[in-house]
Amino acid sequence: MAVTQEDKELLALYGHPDTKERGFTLIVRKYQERLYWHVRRLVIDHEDANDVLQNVFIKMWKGLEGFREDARLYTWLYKIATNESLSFLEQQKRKSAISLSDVETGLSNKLQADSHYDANKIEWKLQKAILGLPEKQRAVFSLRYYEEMPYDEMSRVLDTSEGALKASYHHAVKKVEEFLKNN
Amino acid sequence: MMHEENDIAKELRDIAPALEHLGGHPHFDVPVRYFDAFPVQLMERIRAMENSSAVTEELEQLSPLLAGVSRETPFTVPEKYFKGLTEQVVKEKNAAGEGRVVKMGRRLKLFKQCLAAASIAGLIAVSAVLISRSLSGSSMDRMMAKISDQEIEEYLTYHTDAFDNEHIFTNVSLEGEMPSVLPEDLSSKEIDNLLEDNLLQDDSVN
Repeated sequence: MAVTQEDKELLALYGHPDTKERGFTLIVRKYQERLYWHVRRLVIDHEDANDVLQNVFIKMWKGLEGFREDARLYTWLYKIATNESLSFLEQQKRKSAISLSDVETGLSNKLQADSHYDANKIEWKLQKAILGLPEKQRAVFSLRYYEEMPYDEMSRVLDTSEGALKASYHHAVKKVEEFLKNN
Repeated sequence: MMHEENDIAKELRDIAPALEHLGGHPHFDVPVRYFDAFPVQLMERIRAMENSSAVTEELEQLSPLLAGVSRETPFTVPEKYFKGLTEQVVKEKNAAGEGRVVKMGRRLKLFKQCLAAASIAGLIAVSAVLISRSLSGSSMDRMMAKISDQEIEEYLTYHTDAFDNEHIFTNVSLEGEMPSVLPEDLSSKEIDNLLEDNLLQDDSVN
């Protein structure tokens, strides 16, 4: 799917030296909230999400000149945001030299440290269930369940075939359901 | 068409005669290319709606339990976070500096420039060494040697006083000039010449 009309105008602003800064600011303003929530669902903590999101936009600034307009800006940004989030989690794992299950426990602790956390509420139980999924599967689940992203776009974001993504999402839904039934 | 417009104007006059004096229609502005972009934007919204229902339908089939749960994320963000985020990102971006793509051609150019700079620096260094050598002690000695004894004598006569003479005599030693042990193969004439030279030196300072 090609870049949208509005994004074309933003990219045109960015492409002109006099309006480059303005174009960048408008793109950030347009996508910041959607990307923040995508990142936040993956890294859980607000401060971590803030750091990752800033890296996403700095990467965007550096790479936007080479952006091909046959792709959607939205898809490209989600790709950067997903990769940055997964890299951040990977770094956390390496830094602490801890196992995957410990990372899950760490994220679960962060979840429970949230001031609004309520273990009895279904939306928080759902978050705990999602944390039980492997990281990439969590990204698949988040993009489909929360972002309502079509499989063809997800395929471009995650560089995975549509079939594999469909199977992964179906599997994730079953695991989440299982968790909710048992908790 | 003309008849229809007249009927409408007559009707308006009959209903509200005051409106006739209000003039023409006001001019409303629309964003540039609004009508060009409108169908595309509308299509995007329709696609998003269709996609949303596809996701919901899929979820209902996969897990009715999960389909019944609110898809709202329970997390919260600090107050006015998104309002200040753009400024924060721009600030970070400026701190990080602009991205720079270094191409191979540019590297080669840089290498050539470095090579030229190194050559110039080398040339300057070699020149400096040569100039320094040309001004070193041996050269000074050669220049001093060109000055005649007469000129030195005149200089000392007019530019020195008793204190200078004393100073000169205390610092002048003939030991370095005179061999401590005379070589055996020196002829008596050579010895006389040597003594004469040193006596002349002695005389000249007086």
